[in-house]
Amino acid sequence: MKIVGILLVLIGWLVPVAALTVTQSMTARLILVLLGISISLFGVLWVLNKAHLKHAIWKS
Amino acid sequence: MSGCRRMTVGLWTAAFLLLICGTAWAQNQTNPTTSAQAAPAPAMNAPLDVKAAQPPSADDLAKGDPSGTRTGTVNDVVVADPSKGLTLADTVNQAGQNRIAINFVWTLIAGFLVMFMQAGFALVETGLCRAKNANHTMMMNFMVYGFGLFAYWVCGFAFQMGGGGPYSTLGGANYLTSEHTLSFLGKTWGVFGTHGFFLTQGGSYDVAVMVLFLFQMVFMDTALTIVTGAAAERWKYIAFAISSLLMGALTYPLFANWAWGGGWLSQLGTNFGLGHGYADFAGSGVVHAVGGITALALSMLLGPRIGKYNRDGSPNAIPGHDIVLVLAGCFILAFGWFGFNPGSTLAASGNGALRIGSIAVNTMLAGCTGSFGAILYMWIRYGKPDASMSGNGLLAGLVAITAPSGFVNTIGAAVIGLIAGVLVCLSVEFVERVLKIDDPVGAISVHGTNGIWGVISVGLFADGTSNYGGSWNGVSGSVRGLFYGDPGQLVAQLIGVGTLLGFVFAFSYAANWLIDVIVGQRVSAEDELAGLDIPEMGALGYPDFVLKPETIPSGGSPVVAATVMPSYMSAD
Amino acid sequence: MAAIPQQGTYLGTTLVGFTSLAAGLVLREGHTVIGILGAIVGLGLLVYSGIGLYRIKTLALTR
Repeated sequence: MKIVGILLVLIGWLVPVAALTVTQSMTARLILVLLGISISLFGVLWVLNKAHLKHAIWKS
Repeated sequence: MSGCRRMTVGLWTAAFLLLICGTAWAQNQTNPTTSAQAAPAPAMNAPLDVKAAQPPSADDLAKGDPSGTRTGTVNDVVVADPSKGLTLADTVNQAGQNRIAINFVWTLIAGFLVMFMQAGFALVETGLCRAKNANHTMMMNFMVYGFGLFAYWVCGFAFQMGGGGPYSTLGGANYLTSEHTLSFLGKTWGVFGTHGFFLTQGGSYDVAVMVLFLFQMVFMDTALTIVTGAAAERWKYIAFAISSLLMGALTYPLFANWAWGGGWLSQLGTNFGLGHGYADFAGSGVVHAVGGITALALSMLLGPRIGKYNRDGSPNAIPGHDIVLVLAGCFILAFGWFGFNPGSTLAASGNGALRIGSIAVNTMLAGCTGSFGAILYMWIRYGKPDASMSGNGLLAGLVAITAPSGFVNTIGAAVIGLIAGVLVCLSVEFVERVLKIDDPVGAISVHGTNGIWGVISVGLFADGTSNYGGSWNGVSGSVRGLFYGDPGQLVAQLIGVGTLLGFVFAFSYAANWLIDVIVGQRVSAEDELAGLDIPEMGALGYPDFVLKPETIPSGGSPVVAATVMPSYMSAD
Repeated sequence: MAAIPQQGTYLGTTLVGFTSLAAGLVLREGHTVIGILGAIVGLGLLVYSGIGLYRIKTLALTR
């Protein structure tokens, strides 16, 4: 799950970067950038963090 | 009829006179130009008549100069050839050197102020930790300066600034113009600089490069010291040392190059028409968010301190041991921030650099409203004006205003700071209660969350009145946010945020995971409970005090926070 | 395991290796033998430090 989380983080970064050349529309770019940030945040705060919390020191 | 004729004659006479007067006036207007063109230009190397400047005589100077009116005259202009005396070339060269000298001194003093912020960070972090870890926390803050500086000198500076030159406000640094680029999606993307390793390679043995290095180095060190706070009380010293080296050599310089060193984020304006490209005046993103996001990655890897969470996942407060240190440290940081933000003009003369006054006021205002936001939030929500969160509110406001300080007006600065002050409280609660990530000093919230907020706020509040040499990131005109008519700037800022969250987090996580595999990041449970001062550093921070023993919580009972008390008080 | 003298030794070799690797890579631009040699020595020192630190870590875990 940690690898999935990191992959999501990276994909979230590549979405806005790719969006730069896919469209010239400012609104479309804005939406794609926000989508990318959301994917990265989901990867960090949900997937990766949950994987770490699985074996948290306070659970043992 | 005769009256009509007289009138006609009169009109013709008046018209004639007007014509003559007009011609004479026009000649008067053109004559100066004509005469100036006709007059020979003063020779640059011809001696000037110094007497006309009325320099003070030797007798006058011998009397002293209590009024300060005779010190600094034509006598003090450096003459290239004493046999010729003072020439126009001498005065022009002196004027140019004076401008660069002002900028050098300004940038250096600002850098010294930022260097002093290390002391502020050390006090804040140590104060917010328990007494049993005082030596360890202080030593991390102390040595991060050395490890970071060394790595930055070896290669970090070259990666960051090696391709961003020339820097006109510092008179050139013309050697720093080699940027490694990639061709991708039909565009050229700057990735890292390749000149300036060891500050001796090629033309980097240069006075302007040295000034730039000092200023950028203290910024880099600020980012590194943020991490030590989030990882405090459980980080192996050897892992800290290697992690800091890596961050000073690679993580920080890469993102800093993309934003400040001519890299691809700064080219978003010229390449894709997004405002003025990613604009981060003094480093909310480059310094603070990079530090805060690395702190987040490391905190996840390290896990929380023993006793921070009960078995049901509810958090326990582990208060710091010295609020006096914390607030004194906050004041030192606020003082140092006057170097951080106004110093980022790299100039006090020319290129719109006199905006330093506005930048300084924005900085103090945002810090003020930041502490307001935090103190009001805590007072209303928890019933008391919490001291440590007030300090964090001040820092949050300062962090948030760092990127927009050079582009916004005072109203914008006050609003940005106020939002930051509330945001830091919400973020601390979210990180602690929802994410269950242990951050002893609130570094993730203060620097990470508010660093990102600062970056976004440029895209909202930049008012289009700044003018640093007529352009920013190669795009002419001044930076303008969404509220002032440029949505493209907001998109550029958000791409910067996406890069911070996507690239910087992934890179920091991978680097620190590797260190965890090879070296191990976390100390043993025994060492952690005993406090890291003796096991890791070999000496207590407070040898004359007795530490109250700590117990491991069982079944959800709260941990007993370690406190210090003078040894005479524990006699019983 | 608490801090031990070997960690200091390996930190020292890490610093020397890192410096030597960077210096070697910079000098290699001029195609000098010293540059290539410096880079190899630097890389070797980094690997040596890594192995040493890994041994300390595994030793601490087995205790």
